[in-house]
Amino acid sequence: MSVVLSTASGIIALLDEPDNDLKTYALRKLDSLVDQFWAEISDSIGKIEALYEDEEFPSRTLAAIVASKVYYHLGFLDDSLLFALGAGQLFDVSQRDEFTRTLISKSFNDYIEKRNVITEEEHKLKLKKEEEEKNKTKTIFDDEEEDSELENMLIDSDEDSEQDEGLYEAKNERILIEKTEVEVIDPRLEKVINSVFRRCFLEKEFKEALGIAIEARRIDIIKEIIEMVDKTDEMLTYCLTIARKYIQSRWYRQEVLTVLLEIYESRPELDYINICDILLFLNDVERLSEILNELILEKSIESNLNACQIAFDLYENASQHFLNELVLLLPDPIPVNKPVEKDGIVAEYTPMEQKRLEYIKKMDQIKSILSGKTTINLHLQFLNRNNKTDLQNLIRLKEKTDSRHSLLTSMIVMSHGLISCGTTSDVFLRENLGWLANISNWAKFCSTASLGLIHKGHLDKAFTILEPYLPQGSGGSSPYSEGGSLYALGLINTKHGEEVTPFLLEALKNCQRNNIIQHGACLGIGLSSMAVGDMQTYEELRGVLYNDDAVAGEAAGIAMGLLMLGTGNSKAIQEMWNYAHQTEHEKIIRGVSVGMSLIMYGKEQEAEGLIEQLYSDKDSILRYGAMFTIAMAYAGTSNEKALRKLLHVAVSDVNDDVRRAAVIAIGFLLFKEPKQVPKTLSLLAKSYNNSVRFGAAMALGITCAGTANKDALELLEPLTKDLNNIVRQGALIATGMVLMQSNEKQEPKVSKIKEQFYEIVSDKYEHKMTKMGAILGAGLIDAGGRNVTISMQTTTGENDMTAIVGLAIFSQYWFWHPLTYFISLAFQPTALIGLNKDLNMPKFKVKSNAKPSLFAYPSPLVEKKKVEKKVETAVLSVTKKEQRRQEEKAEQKKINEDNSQMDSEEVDEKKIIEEEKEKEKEMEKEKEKEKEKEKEKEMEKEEKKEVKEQKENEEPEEEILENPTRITLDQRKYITFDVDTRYKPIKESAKFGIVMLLDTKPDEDEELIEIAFDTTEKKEEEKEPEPPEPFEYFSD
Amino acid sequence: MEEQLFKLSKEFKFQVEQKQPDSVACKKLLTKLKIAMAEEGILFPGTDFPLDPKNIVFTRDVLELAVIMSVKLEDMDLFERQVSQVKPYYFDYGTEIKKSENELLILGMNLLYLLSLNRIGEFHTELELIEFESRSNPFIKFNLQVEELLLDGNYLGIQTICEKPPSDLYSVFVSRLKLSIQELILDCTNKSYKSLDLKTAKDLFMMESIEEVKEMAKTNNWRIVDNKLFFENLDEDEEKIPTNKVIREIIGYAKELEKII
Repeated sequence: MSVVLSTASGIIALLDEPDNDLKTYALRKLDSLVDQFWAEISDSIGKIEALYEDEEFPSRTLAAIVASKVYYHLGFLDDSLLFALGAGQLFDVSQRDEFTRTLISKSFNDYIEKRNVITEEEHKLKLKKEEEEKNKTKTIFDDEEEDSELENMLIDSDEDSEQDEGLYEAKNERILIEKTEVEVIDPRLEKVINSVFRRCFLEKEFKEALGIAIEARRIDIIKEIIEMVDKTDEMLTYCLTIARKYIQSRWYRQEVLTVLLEIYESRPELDYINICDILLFLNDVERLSEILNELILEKSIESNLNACQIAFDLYENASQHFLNELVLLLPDPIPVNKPVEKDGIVAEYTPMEQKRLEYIKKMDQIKSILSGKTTINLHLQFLNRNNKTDLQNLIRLKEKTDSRHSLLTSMIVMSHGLISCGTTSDVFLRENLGWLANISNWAKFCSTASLGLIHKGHLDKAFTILEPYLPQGSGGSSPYSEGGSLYALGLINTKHGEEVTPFLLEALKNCQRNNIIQHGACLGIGLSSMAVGDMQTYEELRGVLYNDDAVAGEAAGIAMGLLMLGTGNSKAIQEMWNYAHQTEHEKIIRGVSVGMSLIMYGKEQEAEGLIEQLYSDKDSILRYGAMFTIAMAYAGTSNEKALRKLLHVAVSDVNDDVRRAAVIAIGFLLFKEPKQVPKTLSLLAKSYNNSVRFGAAMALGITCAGTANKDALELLEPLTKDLNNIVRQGALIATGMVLMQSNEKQEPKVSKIKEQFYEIVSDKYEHKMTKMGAILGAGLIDAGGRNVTISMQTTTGENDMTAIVGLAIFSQYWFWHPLTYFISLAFQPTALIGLNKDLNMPKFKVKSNAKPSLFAYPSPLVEKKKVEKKVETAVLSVTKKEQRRQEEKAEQKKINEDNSQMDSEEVDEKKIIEEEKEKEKEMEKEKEKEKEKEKEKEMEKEEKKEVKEQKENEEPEEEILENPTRITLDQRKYITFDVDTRYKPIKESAKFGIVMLLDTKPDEDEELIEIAFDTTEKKEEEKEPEPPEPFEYFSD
Repeated sequence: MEEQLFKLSKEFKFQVEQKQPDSVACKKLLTKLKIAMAEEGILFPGTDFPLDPKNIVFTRDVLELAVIMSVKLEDMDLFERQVSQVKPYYFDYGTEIKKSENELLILGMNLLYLLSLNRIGEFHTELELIEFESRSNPFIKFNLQVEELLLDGNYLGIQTICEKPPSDLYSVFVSRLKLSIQELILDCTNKSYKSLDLKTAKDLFMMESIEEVKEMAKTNNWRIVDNKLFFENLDEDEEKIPTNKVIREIIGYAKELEKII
């Protein structure tokens, strides 16, 4: 006989019995039935609680566990946990049911929260004590002032710790509260937590345990886990990534990293790459330089490779300041004298000297890597080699654009600049010289500057390329192209302006206050000496600012910000702040306020003062600057307080510009978690306010660039059809950014979007603003020969300062189109470049374990049929013309023959000249046509090849890629290094970026990949196409 | 089953069937019995193993006796507790054993108990648990009639019907019912009239004598002047709708909504 109970009321009634045994009996029954009858039991929860609190009741723990379960079912987890802790042994953490799991996770959350508060508090106390001790030693001599000084020191220490700790908000208030009631962790809770750890150890769930230990700030457990696990390597790396990515408190992160460092260093085989990684985080320049030096001194190739790899990583992740210091600390080896020839016998280097020579060579290598020149050069080679630009799309857009419209033509040039960024290929410009000739004024400035974009990173050749345009005193060329070329010079030499800055400064002095040249020169200086903080240059720029010229002043303001980037220089801030109030030019105020925001880059809480000051100003442009200051100061931190402020401003400020800036700034704060952004912005994207919608689109574009994030695209799609043309513009640009590098296979929308760009541009009635968005969007989607993506973080997830700044200034394009080029600072080549010990690229293969089509370049001819038709008709007309011309010629010949005797020579000559001219013209035309034809043919061939390949392969599951190769963001996880038999990467975790390769067969000849330029001057000169002729030649 | 239990249950039965059971002895015995049953595992046994019908009948009988005991002792808390303890034996465990003769009596008493406390909602819940055919049973039918009259407000009818309860045990509840009806009437008159004749009041309140009315007036602080009863309408402070506050808040919301995005 089996029975299903329908009520627990009978058992509950037993609780009222006077006898304890009966109550216990009832509780035991209830414990087994609680999952079913919790609703009924909850009515009598009071009785059960009373039993638990009755100290004389023998089964108190039983009452506690029943109460805990009831509260769990009711959803009151706090109460539930409290009773569970009271239940002692009865709360069994090894259970796997939902109740136990929920409560354990709850207890962990509580525990972690409390531990965080307590450790922060302890840390503060420790700091204070240190200060006090210092104080004591100081005040031994000076007893009277002890008290006041002690107070001062305390205040100081408070401020220090505030500055030190990245994550800590409710400062003084919280300190006060905590002083009075220091939280103590329930020992029972601690016991539960510890037993969970033990269970994790038993069940070998070390990663979980480690994560919890790190979060709960239990350094003892962290150590224990790492020591316990056999595969320490994996665990250490895991711990390292977690510590770097998720620990927000600065001092705690450093503490964990120090522990890790100790463990790394105690191991027999030193893992230099990781050690240096940690040292970088701990900001320990001295140790780093020592290790680098040691590695270079060591004989083995492996350690040398390690040194190179470390240097590459450092360049990518470390701040400019850090790198400069490091280079200074590295020893400068004494050069070796050439052996003297004696008595005609060629002397050789002694072994010692040879060693020294070797050492010098390697040291130079490392220093050049640290200076970044090697990386830039490699990226340039990569972009040039792997250039998969498909100009067809752009040509299509160009055809549909009215050449009389200067805005859109200059947009086409800009778009081209973006597409060919870093590829050094300017075919398009050279083919369209005639068309370019129509460009004048600022559009000319832009088109000249676009050369800088195309040759971005081509440090050595900067002057050669730009020579025809640069101001040369004897001039004659227009100031617009001169200014543009100076800007271009800055773009090419971004962050590496040792050579060009003096030239730019000279140009700034010699331009006779021509504001256009000043504008270009200022931007150029800002770019080339970014974050240098040189006061002399600063004063030069300030001079331009004080001239109170709107055009030059704006650029000077931005340039001052770039120069002082992240220094927090209070003098500069003060001067800029004052001038912003003196001048009447809005452009200058805007430039200056953006400049001020740049100075505060990464300063977090330190910037609060300026933010407050700017935000409370009645001038909306300064409030606009305040929003960007928040964006810069808290970039990538997801700081909650700052975020709240931005959201508040986004919906409450009276000025649309300020609201827009606030929304864009949200993107800068959240870029490290691109998946979160669409959720945060979804409401704002539906705002009634045009500016807010535009801002939301921009923020989405910035944060989700290159991710092809579905949510982001979903939000952007309606915005591309928005009623407001500016919003449409923003959405189109953002869509272009989001879909960078994705192909139809990955995101089927890609071709649709490209088609949309085309339709918008060709639509007669579409507003020019929207067209502009479409052209730029088309440029971004195919940017950098499709080998770059936009990213504000480095491959290891650190803030990429240059990229962040670039995007911040890019977002000013709203007011000043030439600033669009700043987006190129955020372009990150998605490359895997393998290097051998001499920093050359050997032939090397990697495997991508995914279908090739998944990550292939977008197919080049989307509009194949249409284009073909056009070409056909063109060909026909040409042949017709030719036929006609030949007929005419024949006729003319006849006539000529007939008339030759009769006509005078003069007439003949004239005719001949005319004919020749005609011929020339037609020849030119023909040539162009032929070229197009050839192109078509080539493309068709390629198409065929591809088709063939595809047919042959039938989509294999993997793909072999040759060094250097493009590896997109999503592709990274599919990369393995198991195909190449000869070379092995020195850093196994590196699946992208620059990777040093260990040659396992050093005796064999190495097959190197030919480098397109740089190795020999002559070759390069032959290969390097001549820069386009100056446009002025054609202009009237 | 152990001898001990039988012995105890017999003794308990004997005690309960006395006309005036000894409260202390009975309760002591009952507790002892329950502990014994719990130790034996036959008090609310788990459902995971087969149950012995004999044990169930035994436990049920003991618990039924406990109910009857509580009625005889007029201990209402105990009654409620015991009823809820015995109920599982009617509805859950009782599905496969022979129905108890006392089942409808006890359930009927429970119904009347609920009515007497004016717990109409629970009354209907309990009623639904009883099979439809049983409604014609005098124990249940009586309650149905009372409830109907109560709903109609026919308090006089209740008084008549209560003169003939179906069981002697019901008398306890009937008197409680009367009291609660009186309370209901008092509540109403308090609101409906400003003053009342003492005689009319006596009839209205279904009281035996005018003295009783006077006593009632005293406890409720009502004044008696010239053989007339004056009610004090104490609770005048009806909740007013806070117009201004509501308007202010709604306008505030509207403003905020405007602001939001």
